[in-house]
Amino acid sequence: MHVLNFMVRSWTGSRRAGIALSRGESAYKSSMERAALKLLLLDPGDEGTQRCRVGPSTLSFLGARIGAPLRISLPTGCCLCTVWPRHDLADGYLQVDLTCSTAGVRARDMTGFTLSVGQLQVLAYSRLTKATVRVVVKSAALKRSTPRAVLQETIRELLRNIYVSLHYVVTVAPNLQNPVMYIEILSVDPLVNEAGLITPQTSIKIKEVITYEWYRHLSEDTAKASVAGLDDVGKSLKEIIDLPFRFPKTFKKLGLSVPNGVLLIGPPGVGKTLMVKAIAKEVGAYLLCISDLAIYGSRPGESEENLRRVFEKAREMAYEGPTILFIDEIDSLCPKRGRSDNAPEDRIVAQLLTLLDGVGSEGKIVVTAATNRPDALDPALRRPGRFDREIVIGTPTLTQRRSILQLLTSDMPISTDVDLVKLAEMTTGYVGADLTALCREAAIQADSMKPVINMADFQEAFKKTQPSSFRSAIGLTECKPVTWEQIGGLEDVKLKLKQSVEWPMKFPQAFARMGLSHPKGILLYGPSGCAKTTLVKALATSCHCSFLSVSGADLFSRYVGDSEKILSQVFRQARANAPAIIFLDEIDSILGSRSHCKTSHGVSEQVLSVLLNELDGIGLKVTERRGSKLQLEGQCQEQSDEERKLEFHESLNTDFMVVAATNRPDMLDDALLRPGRLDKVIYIPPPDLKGRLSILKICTEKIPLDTDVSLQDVAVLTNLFSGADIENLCKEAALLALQENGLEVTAVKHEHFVKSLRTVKPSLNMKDLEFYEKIYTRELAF
Amino acid sequence: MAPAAALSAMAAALEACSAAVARQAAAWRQALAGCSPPLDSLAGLAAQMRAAERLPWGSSPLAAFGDLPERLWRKQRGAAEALLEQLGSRRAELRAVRDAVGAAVASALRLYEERAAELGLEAALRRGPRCPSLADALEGLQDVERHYRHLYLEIQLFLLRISCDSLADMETLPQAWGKMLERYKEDVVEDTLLKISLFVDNHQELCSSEGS
Amino acid sequence: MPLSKSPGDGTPRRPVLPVSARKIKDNAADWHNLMMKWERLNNNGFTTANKIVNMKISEQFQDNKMEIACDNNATGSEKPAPKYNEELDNCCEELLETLKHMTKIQLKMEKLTSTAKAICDLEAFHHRAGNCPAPFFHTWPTPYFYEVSLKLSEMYRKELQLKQTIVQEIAHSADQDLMMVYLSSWLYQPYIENSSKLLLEAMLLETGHRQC
Repeated sequence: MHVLNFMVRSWTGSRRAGIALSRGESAYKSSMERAALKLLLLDPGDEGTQRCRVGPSTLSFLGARIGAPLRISLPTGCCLCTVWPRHDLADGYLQVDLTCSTAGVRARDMTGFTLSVGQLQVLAYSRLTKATVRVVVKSAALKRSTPRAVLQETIRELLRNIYVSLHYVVTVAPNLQNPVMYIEILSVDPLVNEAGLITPQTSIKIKEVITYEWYRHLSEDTAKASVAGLDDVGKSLKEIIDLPFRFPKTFKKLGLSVPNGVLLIGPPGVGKTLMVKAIAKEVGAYLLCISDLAIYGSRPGESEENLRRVFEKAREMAYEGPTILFIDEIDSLCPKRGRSDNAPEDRIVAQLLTLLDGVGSEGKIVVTAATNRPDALDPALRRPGRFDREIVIGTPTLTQRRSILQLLTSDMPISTDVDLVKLAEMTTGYVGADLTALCREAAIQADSMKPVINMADFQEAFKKTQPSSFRSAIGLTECKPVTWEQIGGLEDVKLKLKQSVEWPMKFPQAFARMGLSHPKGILLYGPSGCAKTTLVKALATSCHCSFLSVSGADLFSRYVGDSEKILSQVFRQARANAPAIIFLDEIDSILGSRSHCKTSHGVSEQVLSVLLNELDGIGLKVTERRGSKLQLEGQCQEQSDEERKLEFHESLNTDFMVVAATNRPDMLDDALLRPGRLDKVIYIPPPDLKGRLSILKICTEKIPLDTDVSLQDVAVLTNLFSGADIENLCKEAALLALQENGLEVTAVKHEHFVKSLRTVKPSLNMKDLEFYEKIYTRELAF
Repeated sequence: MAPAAALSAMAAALEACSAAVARQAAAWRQALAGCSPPLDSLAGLAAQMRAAERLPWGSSPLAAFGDLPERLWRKQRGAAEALLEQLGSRRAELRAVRDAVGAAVASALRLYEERAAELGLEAALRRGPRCPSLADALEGLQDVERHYRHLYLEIQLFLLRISCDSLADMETLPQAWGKMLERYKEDVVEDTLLKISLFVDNHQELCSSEGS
Repeated sequence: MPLSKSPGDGTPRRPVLPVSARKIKDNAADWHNLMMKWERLNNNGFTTANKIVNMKISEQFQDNKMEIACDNNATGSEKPAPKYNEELDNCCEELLETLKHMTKIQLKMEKLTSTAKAICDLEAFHHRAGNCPAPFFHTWPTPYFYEVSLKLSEMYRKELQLKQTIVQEIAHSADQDLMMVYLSSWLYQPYIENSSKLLLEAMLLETGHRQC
């Protein structure tokens, strides 16, 4: 107890204060170890001195001489200090100068903390004979302008009389104006666990000089970014980026041109940015991201200046090591020139071209760009020497989706009933971002009570999330699920459609086994309003595949050549989102016919030729396919049956099917109907009595009917009515009931139907029907 | 009375050290003062060089001297180099001061380190009514050593950065020099010398009173 | 310190020099003395020129101030100008005087050069037979003395031309850049190359005025 007294007593006088611990030593010791030291801000005068300040009792407890080296364990790391008494000799406080600490220890993380004395450890020290360091300088300009000898001396002076430990970082006080910011101790000799003192005799070797920017890049979290399902694409991108970095001399010697620019093409959310980041990390390259927002400036010429600055920075970073410049959404930065009087953007494109050409000569920089609209890019950007490599990242395939889901759910508590393969099957057209959203949604569904997320949560989430590719793209329609049951009648048509579309997609192996090939395209014809569109929607729903619907209006464009482009894009999207159904509604209006419309053949003829080419697979770029054949050939041995089935499934599924509809089959160009094109023709007749009845049943499902209503009778009365007509009739009847009986009406009576029949006329007539029947019978005759 | 012997040895060492530091401080001030005239001249020279750069020679009365700009520029460069050389010798003097101070302080600190156990903590922390503790004195010496070391480093880098390629910077050399020195107050040296002399005086008084 | 002509101590090899050798040796001493004198005059001239420029600048400054003052109250006083003009005139007179001295020196330098030429011609006449004459002193053949003289006097001739232009123009310029260039050119003497000192020293060494 008297020892504690001594701490409070004033320093003048008491000679016994320095007495070594004696009686009750251990008890005292443990109580002292727990004694709390409140961390206070450092006095400005102590900055950069490597001192820590404690009170006399702590000094005495530690048994340290003044100025002895001390290791302090802080919440975020350790630091090395020399111990000094506080000027006011007050106890219970600790101030620490972080001149020498482990990486990541910062003063601002420390205020308000309390340490125990046990976290302070006095160290023995030895004078170092050698030390190797890595020097972090403030900027690339300073790095260049500071001669090595000067840097060497600067380092020597900065380190003199400093205690260091292996892998500790010496931070240079900011008020000392010099090029150096940090000095990292890479090795010490003699290698000791205690502190090493750097003396004027210590030989210091600078192993490496890097800029602060690069240092920050290196010390960023080194956790590997998780990417799944992009193995192939990732591999080729990595090759393009990594090889010239790794073997620049070989490239030079062989006269190989280093690829300057890589263009990543793929729908949004597919993981373009993520992959570039992951690869940058993997090859240890510095990644400099540009977005159009950061580039655009309001002042004329400002955008170009910003662009130049970014390239300049990339060039500076490239002095340090491999650098990747990544331009996200390059299409918005560099749209086609000269198209919309967009002078500022034209100038940016011109500037970018110049900069890209400049990069080529230097190496060490690879420019990557990403776009989901390659056609919107200025073509000059895609010429050799600029973005001369293109990598297409499509929507993930089944196996890819499965591996993405595996990765996403790897750190989620999911119950055993979650079937990732099934989920992968359901999520056709979903990109990585969508799958992430799906998993997040599932987690939200589950979070309240259960400890785990089960399949039902995923199913619920599935209903709520839409694949993002359905949002903006042309033709991709938000397909409200339609079940077969929602379509009345037409049972044999449904069966035909299922046979020719749904089955090959769902059971490809069975088809393959039986040597059956599925039709490439199907033409539905029949009078309008007879559920052609609805049928196709039901088809898409039951197949779980992407559904792209194009009508004449979508293709109309005042620009010459645009219609063809839009059509090509639809096909490209379909391939990216395979399996997919492309629905060409009112195909006659899209194409016209070569034989019938001699007068206006220009545009429609070109559209037709694009369509024929796409159907024949001519417009297909090799890179647009995903899911490599390699998987089928080799490496099957170690895979489970399940895997093999999946891949087999997938290889047959990378296709799309075209379904066209028309009510003027006679208008179509014969070329379209040849084998391998729209080779299956299905007639969709107007509903017969039975059909009409079931349509009526479906249409009146939500309408309260009076008991006197006989749908059978109505069905009889609605000969020549199309499905759409019948739907109209039901609505009309309901409206009539509302009109007559006021708002308190409870049911629709039979008379309402009869009255409505007077106003709602059938849209079909016998002559038309005979026309379709004739074609149909001719069809059968073949 | 082991602590007393050690304390006397410490006091003697501190006295020697402070004498050395005082000598070096004078040399430092002199060398530092010697830097100002060449820096002023360099600034003046930069102003001349910039004027020559701006001058439309062709339309000036000097147009007949075609090679004059080139010759003048070479002469001015030569003058700048001569001034830099002068600064270089001042720098060498400053460096000598830094090294001497470093050595003196190191030997005093080493002595304390060797005899710390003997002295004990209490003796090192004891302050008199008008007398600083040994710890205060040692701290001051460490600060003095760092002061000269860091200031020398900055001066060295400062002089190194002078270049005829950036005349605008060269023209403001005296101001930049002043600003740099302002950040390094000489107070730390004087304060420490005062502290040590108080400490030594106090110790001698104590010794004589104890001796009598 | 000016070197005396034909000092008592001779060159190591020949205690008694032939007439030509004596002349060359005297010439070398003259070169040294003239160049020293020129340097002194140049410094005096620079001081004067500097004064002129400062006066001109402060005059401009004053004028500006006057204009502002005139704007404020229409009836401005009108006395300070004459005093400045008088001082300026004095300075210009002084500078002109300095230039006159320099012109004289340059003329003497030309004379030294023609003397050297005459000695060379004489030697060439004596040794028409073609056998190479032995050097008078250590290693230099006689024409070399002429070459050095010619080089030096060319430098001073051109420099004098420049100075004449400066003296004519300096008081009539209002452009600060131009005045600055005048001053800088006066001070650094762009046409007198750095090699001039080397040539002179080599000549003094060869003729025995300087010991190795």
